[in-house]
Amino acid sequence: MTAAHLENEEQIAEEIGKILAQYERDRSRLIPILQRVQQVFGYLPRKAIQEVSSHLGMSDIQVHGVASFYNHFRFTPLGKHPIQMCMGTACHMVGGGLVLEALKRTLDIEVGGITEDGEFSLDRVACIGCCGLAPVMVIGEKIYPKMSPSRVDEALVNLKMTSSPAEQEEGEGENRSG
Amino acid sequence: MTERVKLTIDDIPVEADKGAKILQAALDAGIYIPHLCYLPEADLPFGGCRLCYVEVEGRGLVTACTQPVSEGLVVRTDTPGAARLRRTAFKLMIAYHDLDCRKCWKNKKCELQKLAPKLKVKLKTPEEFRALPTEQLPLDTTNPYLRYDPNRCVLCGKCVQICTIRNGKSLIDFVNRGYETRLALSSSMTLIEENCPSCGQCVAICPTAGLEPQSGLEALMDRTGEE
Repeated sequence: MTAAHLENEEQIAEEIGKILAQYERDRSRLIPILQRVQQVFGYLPRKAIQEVSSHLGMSDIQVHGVASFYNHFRFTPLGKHPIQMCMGTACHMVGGGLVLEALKRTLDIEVGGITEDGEFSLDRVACIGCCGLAPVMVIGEKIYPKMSPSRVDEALVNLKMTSSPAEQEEGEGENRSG
Repeated sequence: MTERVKLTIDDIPVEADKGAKILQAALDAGIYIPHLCYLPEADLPFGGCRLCYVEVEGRGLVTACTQPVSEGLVVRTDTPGAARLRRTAFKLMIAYHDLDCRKCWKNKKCELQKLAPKLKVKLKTPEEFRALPTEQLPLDTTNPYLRYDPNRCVLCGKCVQICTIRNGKSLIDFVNRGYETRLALSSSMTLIEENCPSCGQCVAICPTAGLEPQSGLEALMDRTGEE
């Protein structure tokens, strides 16, 4: 279950209230709470951090400090097509960084960001587990092996097409939309 | 009365309360050990700056701010090993520090400038770090009373400690991890009115130019000074 569609701050607060009701007001519960919040929302909304901090008697920046320490927690929602670029040793060595730069440039977002239309989000991950296919990019569930900067556009164009229903056929077979 | 223990620091006999830390015992006895992040009023030593390395017989190299004294302890502050670790720690601290001191408002009042000669380190970006990329990071101007400059902060954590002591919970804290670690102000998340009591303690304790008072705070500090 995800409630990522909840944009409204009041709705978020209400949803968080339900989560917090299940936890004691004890600082040791912080990480379990944050994990639960991320499970529900797909990310940690700013409003959630404020609500959690007041529940535990901490300051918002302390909660943010803990959450930002762990790669597990994210502060922006996932896009419809979440992109993960592998930066493990193998992918790094064969130019994963160049692919990542190309992604950032093409989408005009930073790592951890999401495009304005909510279609793509970009993250770097440590290893996908198929180093023989390096450099590897993953969008949603689909693996893009042996990537190069010039293949970034190609991969993204197909996804953009499937996003608009009229052109669905053209992108057929290239992806499954998230 | 608390129990007293006897120890020697650099062959000088020193007496200190049982449970006290080597650093405090040395400073009380007038023996200088370099230190930066140490805050006597904190519950637990932060132990982050790594500038107070000393050599303790039988224990090896330890940070003086975290090691408790004990009867018959033999401490040396001047061994080559301790000096080397202290210098390395200091070099790491200034590796990404904006060292254009002449343009800095804290010039001549900066703790780093006082520490450098004591540690025999030149206040220049160390040779081994010169090849690394440097970028100027944006300042945090969300708090009307103070300004945070990540380029000049050395992450000693003193402001976090003092804010916790004074306000019960810190309104300034470390965010991110590793190379990306910075301090962040609560005001960057919420509105200042609900939060920061603008006591100015964090600005007063900052050893570098990491936290800079803004006109609002100066006015406030002047006013409290008159009362």
